[in-house]
Amino acid sequence: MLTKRANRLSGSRESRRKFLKLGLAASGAAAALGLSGCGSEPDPGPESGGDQPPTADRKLPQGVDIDKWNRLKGEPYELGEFGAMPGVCQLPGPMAKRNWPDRNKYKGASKVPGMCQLCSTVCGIVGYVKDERVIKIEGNPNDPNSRGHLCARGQAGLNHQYHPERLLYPLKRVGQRGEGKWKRISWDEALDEIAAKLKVVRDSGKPEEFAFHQGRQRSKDALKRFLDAFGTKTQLSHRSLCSGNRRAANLTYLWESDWDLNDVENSRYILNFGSNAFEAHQGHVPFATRIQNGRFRNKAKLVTFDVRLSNTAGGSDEWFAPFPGTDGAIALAMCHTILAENVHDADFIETWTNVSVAELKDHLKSYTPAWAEKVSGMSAGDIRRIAVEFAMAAPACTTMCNRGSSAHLNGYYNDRAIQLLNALVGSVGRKGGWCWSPWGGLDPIVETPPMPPGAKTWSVLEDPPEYPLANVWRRMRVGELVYLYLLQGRARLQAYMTYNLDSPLTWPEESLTQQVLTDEKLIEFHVCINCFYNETAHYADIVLPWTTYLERWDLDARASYNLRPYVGLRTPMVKPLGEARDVREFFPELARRIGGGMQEWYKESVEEYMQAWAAKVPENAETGKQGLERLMEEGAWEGDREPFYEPYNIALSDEDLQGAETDKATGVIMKNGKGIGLMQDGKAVRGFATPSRKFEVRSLFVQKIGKNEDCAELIARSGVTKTRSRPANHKGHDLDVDPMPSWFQPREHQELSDDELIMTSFKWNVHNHGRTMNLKWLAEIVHSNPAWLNPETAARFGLKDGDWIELTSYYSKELEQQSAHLKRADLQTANGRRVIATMRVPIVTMEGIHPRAIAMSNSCGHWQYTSVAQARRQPETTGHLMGSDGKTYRDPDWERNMWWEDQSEGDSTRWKPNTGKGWNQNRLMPIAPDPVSGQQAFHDTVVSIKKVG
Amino acid sequence: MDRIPRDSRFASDPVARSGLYRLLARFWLREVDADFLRQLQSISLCNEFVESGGVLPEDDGRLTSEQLAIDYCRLFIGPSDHLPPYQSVWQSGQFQEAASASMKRFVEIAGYQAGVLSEGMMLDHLGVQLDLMGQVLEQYAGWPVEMADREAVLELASAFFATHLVWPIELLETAARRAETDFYRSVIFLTRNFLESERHVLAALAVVAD
Repeated sequence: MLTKRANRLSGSRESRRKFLKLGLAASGAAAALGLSGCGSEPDPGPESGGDQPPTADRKLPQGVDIDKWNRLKGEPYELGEFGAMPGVCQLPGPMAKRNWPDRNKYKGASKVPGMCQLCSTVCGIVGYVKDERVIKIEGNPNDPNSRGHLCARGQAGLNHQYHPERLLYPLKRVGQRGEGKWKRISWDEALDEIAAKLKVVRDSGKPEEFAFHQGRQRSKDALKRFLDAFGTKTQLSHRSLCSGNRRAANLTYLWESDWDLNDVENSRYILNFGSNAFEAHQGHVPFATRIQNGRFRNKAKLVTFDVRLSNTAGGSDEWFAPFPGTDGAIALAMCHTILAENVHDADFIETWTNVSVAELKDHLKSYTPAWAEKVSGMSAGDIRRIAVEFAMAAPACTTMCNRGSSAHLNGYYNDRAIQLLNALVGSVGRKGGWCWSPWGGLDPIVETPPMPPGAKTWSVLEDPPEYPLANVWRRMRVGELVYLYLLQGRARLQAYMTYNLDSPLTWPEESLTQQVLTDEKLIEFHVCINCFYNETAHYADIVLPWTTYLERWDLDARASYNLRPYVGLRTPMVKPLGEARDVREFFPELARRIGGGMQEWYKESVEEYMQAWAAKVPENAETGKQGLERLMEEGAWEGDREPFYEPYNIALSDEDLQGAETDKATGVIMKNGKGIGLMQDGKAVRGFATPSRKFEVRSLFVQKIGKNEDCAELIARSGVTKTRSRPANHKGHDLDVDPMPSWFQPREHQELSDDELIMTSFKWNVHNHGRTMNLKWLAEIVHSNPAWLNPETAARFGLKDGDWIELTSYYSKELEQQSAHLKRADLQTANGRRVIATMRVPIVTMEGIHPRAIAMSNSCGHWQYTSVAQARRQPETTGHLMGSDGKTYRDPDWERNMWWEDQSEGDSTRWKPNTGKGWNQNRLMPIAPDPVSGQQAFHDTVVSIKKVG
Repeated sequence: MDRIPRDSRFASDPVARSGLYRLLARFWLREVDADFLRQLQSISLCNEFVESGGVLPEDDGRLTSEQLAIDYCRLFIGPSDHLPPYQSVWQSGQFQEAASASMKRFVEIAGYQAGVLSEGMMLDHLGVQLDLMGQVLEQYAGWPVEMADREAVLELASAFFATHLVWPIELLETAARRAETDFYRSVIFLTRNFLESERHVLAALAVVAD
C-alpha cells in the first residue's frame, strides 16, 4: 500500500509541490528540528557593508568559493563503475586498462611508516597516502627484521582498511544474545554502561571476575596499564593455542628466553621439524627470507620433517613424512647417532651443559634409529645419515620447529628433544647456529611513562593449577580451557572484554565455545572490541568499533633475527573511519568513568604518551631528528649492539664481580643473592641464565615444579627473578615431569585402528587463523579447505577426489588417563570413546600427506565476519530479510572475480571443487592441553571417516 | 559540465528545496530519537510530512524510537548484511574511494560546515551529501550577489547533484524493500522520490540548455 502510494508521488507536479511545501515547513522549523546549516539569513561578514556583494575575495560569507569553483569545474569527476578512481585497488581483470598499474596513481602521495598486524610477525610497512586515503602498502626497508619484505597478507591491508562491512559505530545488543539484533549507541553511552558494570565488579572485591581476553595484540602496554590500574590479573590469551610447548622447552634449557632465533642466514644445515616457515611461522617473512639467504649464499641444506608437504617442505632439499607426533623420537635417535658416531662436540657438552657425554650416552642408549624407525616410519638409515650431516656442519647448523612438533600431547618433549641436537653439536649460541636473544620485543632503551603496580589477583582461568609449566617463567596460560572451566563452574565472570579475538572459530570445540558465550549466567556481560563483526562479536552485549593497524599508535618490535633489539613505530596513517577508536583513546575515558584512582594512570594525551615512550630513540646525525620525530620519518630504529652470539662466554667485569661470591662446588657466581655468572677455567663469565648457569639438559627445576616443590634457591641462582615457584593454590596437582629430554607416544596413537586417522591442521601463506578470510584478494586465492588424504588411504576407504566423507572426532585416550579434570558428562560415546563432533567435508587426494594422517587447513568456515569470508556474492536474504531481493552495493571487482560461490545449496552431489567458504576444522578438535605446559594439541586428534552417499 | 542547466527554474524555491534536503539529511545522518519524533509530530511540519508520503508512528514513546533505531541499524549500520549509505561503497565496493576524494573537493569549494551529526563522518555518506546540497541552496537563496556568481553557485549545485546525488537510487530502492518499519520505508521513499524529482527537473533543463 505504502509502496504504491509512494510510487504515485514520484515525479508528478503534484508531488513536487508537496515536496516543496514540506521543504518550506522544514526550513521554517529548522531550529526546532535541530537541522544543520548556517541559517537562512546571510551573514554579511565583518568587512562587507550590508547588502554589498563580497567582491574582494569572491567568496560567499558562508563559504562557497566562486573562484575555486570556476577554476576546477572543468575537471571531470570520473565516478562510477570502472572509472579512474584514485587509490582504487582492483585486481586487473578483463576490463582493466592495458597500462595497469597506473604509475601516475602515486604522484603526490606521501609515504607514512607503520607496522603490519595481519599476522604476528609485525613487519615494517610504508603506506602511500593520497587524498587522506592509503592507496598502497609496501614493506619498509628501514625495518631491521623484515628488511622491506612484505607478504600477500600485508599487501591486502587495503582490503582490511576499506572493507565496506567494517564496524563504524558502537553497537548494543537489543535481542537475545547471539540473535544478531543491534542498535547503534554513542561512545558516551557505551563507555558509561561499561564503566558502570566494571565499577560494580571492582567494588565487589572480586576484580578477577573481570576478564580481558585478547587475540593478537600489539598494544601490550595499553592493555597492561588498564588491567593493572583496574586490579585484575585475569588477562587471557591464545598463547597455549600457539606456541606454549616450544616456549616451555626453550625456557627449560635457557630460562632467559622462550624464543629460539635460528641463525639460518649464516647456517650451512637446517633441520626443520614440522615448521611451515615459508607460510605461517611467527617469524614468517623475516625468517623465510633469511632461510633462503642461507641456502643461496652458504649452500645451506634444508631438511624438513612434516606429515604434510607444506610449501616449506616442498621448497626443502629433502622432505620426510613421519608418523604424526614422532618428531621427538627422530630427534632423540639423531642425538643417539651423533654420540654413537662420535661427531658430537664433547667440549661444549662437558663445559656448557649440566650433563656429561657419558650421562647422555647412557640416557640415549635406548633411543636408537631402529627404534625411531619403528615409531616414526622414517628409515633408520636416513636418520643416521642426516644426523651425521647435521653434526658435520656444526657449529653453523640449527634446528627449527614450531607448531608442527609442539602442538601435540607430547609436544613439550618433542621440542626438548629437537633442541637437544644443537647442544650435542655445539651450535648453541653460535653464528649460524641455534640462537636466541634476551630482547623479545622493544629495545629496552625506550620506556613507557610510569605503569601501575601489577595486579595481585588469581583466577583459575588465567592460572590453572593442573599445568606446572604454564606460568612459571612466562604467563602462557591455558587458553583453551577458559570456556570449559566456566561451564564446569570453576570460575565466574561478571564482565568479559574480548579484543581482536575470534574464539568460536579458532578455539577447539566450537560448540562448547558458542554454548558458553551465549549463556548469560556464565558470562554476565560481554564487551567485544573489533574491526569487524566476527563470530565473537555475535555473542557480545556491546560491540566497540576498533581502529585498524593503519589508524593507531604503537611502539612495536619482535624478537629480531638480527639478534639485537630494535624499535618500530605503528602510526595512524589516516584518520579512523566512522567512529572507530583504539584502546589508547578510550581506555583513559573508561578509567575516568570508573574512577577510584584508575584515572591517575592516564595523564597524557596519546601523542604525548608516544613522545615520552619514544623519547630515548637517539638522534639521527644526518637528519637531526630523534625520538618520535625520527621514528615518524624512518619507521624503525635499530641500535648498534653486538648480535647475541655466545653470550655464555661474555666475561664478567670487575664491577660485576664487586661483592660477588663463588660457590666452590658449582662455580656459580652469586651477587646480592642472585646468580650472575660462572667460573670456567678460572675465568668469570656470564654463562647461561639457569640455576646451574649452564645449558640445562637435566632440569631439576621442571621436576620440582611438577611436584610443586619450593624452587626459590634454583630461581635465585638463575638470576631470572621473574620466575616463580608455584603458589599454594597449585597444591594437589602434582605431575611427573621428566628432568631429561625424553619421548612418549600418546596411547591413542599407539592403539590407532585401521579405520582411524590422525587429523592435522595447517595455515596457508595468505591467511592467518581467523582474521584474513574477509579480505577479498586473499579469499580469492584460498577460500576452501577440503580434507587432504593420501591416495593409498583413499583407495583403502573406496574414495576418490571430490568425494565427501563424514568425519567423527574423539576425545583423547591419553587425557582420559592423565587429565581427569577435563571430563565432561555431556559428550556422547561411540565404540567406547567419547565423541566430540561429526562433520561432512569433501576430500582431495595427494601424495603429499602421510597415509595415516588427514589434514585440513585453518582460516575457513566463517559463519560471520563479512560476506567475503562467507563466500557470498550477495548479502544473506534469509531470516528477517526473507522475501527481499539480494540486491546490494556494487563492487565491480567482487562481481567480476568472485567465482567461488557455492551453488550446491547443501547438496554434496552438486558441490563443485574449490567453491564455497570451507569448514571450521575446530568443530572437530577436542580441548586437549599438553599436561605439562597446557599447549593445545591441535595435531593429535583421532578421527574415523566414512564415505557419504 | 556544458550540460549543466542555466535555466532559472532549477533555481526556483531554493529555500524550500534547501529545507527538504536538510530535513532528509537529518533522517539519514542519525536514527531518529524520541525528541526528534516528538518535534516531527507536534509541529506544523507533520501534515506536510504525511502529505509527501511520510508515515509517522502513532506512538512517540521510547518503544517506538527503539524499534526505529533497530530498523535503522539493521538497514544502514549493520553489523552484517546491511546497506552502507556511502557512495564509495555503492560504486566501488569499499570505503573512501573516488567519491570521497570528489566530496572533499566539493566540501572545500562549497565551504560546507559540518553540523553536530555530520561531524567526523565520511564525506560520501548520503546524509552529508544531502546536507551539503541543502547548505549550498540555502546560501544561494540567501545572498543577493551579482548574476554571474549566482549562476556559478547554481552550476555548482547542479554539478554536485549530478555527481553525488544520483547514485543513491539503487540504495534507496533496495533499502525500501528491506525496511521493517513504515516510518523508515516512507523516509526512504520520500528521499528517493524527491531525488527523482530533482533529477527529472535537471534532465528536462539539460535538454532545454542543449
